[in-house]
Amino acid sequence: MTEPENRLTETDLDRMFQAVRAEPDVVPLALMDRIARDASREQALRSEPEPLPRPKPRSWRVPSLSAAVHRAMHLLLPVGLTASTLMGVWFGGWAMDNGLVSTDALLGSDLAFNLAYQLPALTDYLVGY
Amino acid sequence: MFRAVPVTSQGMKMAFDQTVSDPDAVLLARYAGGDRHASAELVQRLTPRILGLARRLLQDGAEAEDVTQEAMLRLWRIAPDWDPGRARVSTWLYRVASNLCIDRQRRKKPAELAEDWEVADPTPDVTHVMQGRTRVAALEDALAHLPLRQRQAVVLRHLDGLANPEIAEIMGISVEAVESLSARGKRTLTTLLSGRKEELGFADD
Repeated sequence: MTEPENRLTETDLDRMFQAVRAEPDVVPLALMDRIARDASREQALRSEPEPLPRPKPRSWRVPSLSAAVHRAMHLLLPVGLTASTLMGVWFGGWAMDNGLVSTDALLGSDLAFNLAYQLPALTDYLVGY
Repeated sequence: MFRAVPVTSQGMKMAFDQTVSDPDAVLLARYAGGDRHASAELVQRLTPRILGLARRLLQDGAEAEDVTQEAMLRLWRIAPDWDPGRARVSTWLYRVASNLCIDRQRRKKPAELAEDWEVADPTPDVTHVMQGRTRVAALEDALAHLPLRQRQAVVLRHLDGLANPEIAEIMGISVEAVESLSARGKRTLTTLLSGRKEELGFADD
């Protein structure tokens, strides 16, 4: 055990605290410089103008209408072609059945005559020529 | 642009009063407003104290400098949003620096004394290590042997001269806990330094 007379008293300790407090806390210049540069950088970052807001998508109708038509075309074209073909087949059959169109009438038409005249090779395929 | 800190009509007077009573808060507001000289003044006022605390808590000069720079960087970043009604700038900065030190100290897992440890008798080794030093160096060495929380309380109370309520705010504990930590720290220091009375120049007192 330490002898009581050798023990530090509270007053002694307070005097040691005083001695430490009297010592100036020396800050290295390099550290001061680093901290000052941080401060300037942060300040500069905040003073930079904020980025411009993103332009909102245009709301006028022509582009959107055009896009809609474009999209519809992908669907409408094959549907239209199919419908036209079916109508043609149906109408042709109906016309033949009702005597509106006959082979004789077809061969005697101006169209058949012109085809035979312009393209003689086709006469092999046209019965009656 | 200068940022007006008080927001609510109720808090305006209190915030204004606290800003006036805390010159660091005034400087911080000026810094946030773009005043380049304000940061230099803040560095001069606050850095020595924060570095001193970090050195005593970490016992490592390079790490203490890193902690000081990091704490100051956080101050620069919080400046535009600083609310003077919350705390004094120095109190806030002490708390940030203390927490950074504690985090680093925990990572290092130092061979310090247990938190509730108190010396019954100094070991010959401790006495031997401290031989030939001045009072300042002897105290700094003894401080290094204190548990971190005791060291923090002793440094803030007896070396930085802060009041117990402010230390309680910094450490996030009650005033009674601060008093207890500080008292235990002093007892431990007294015990650690005993036997060196003559060497330290107290023998004739």
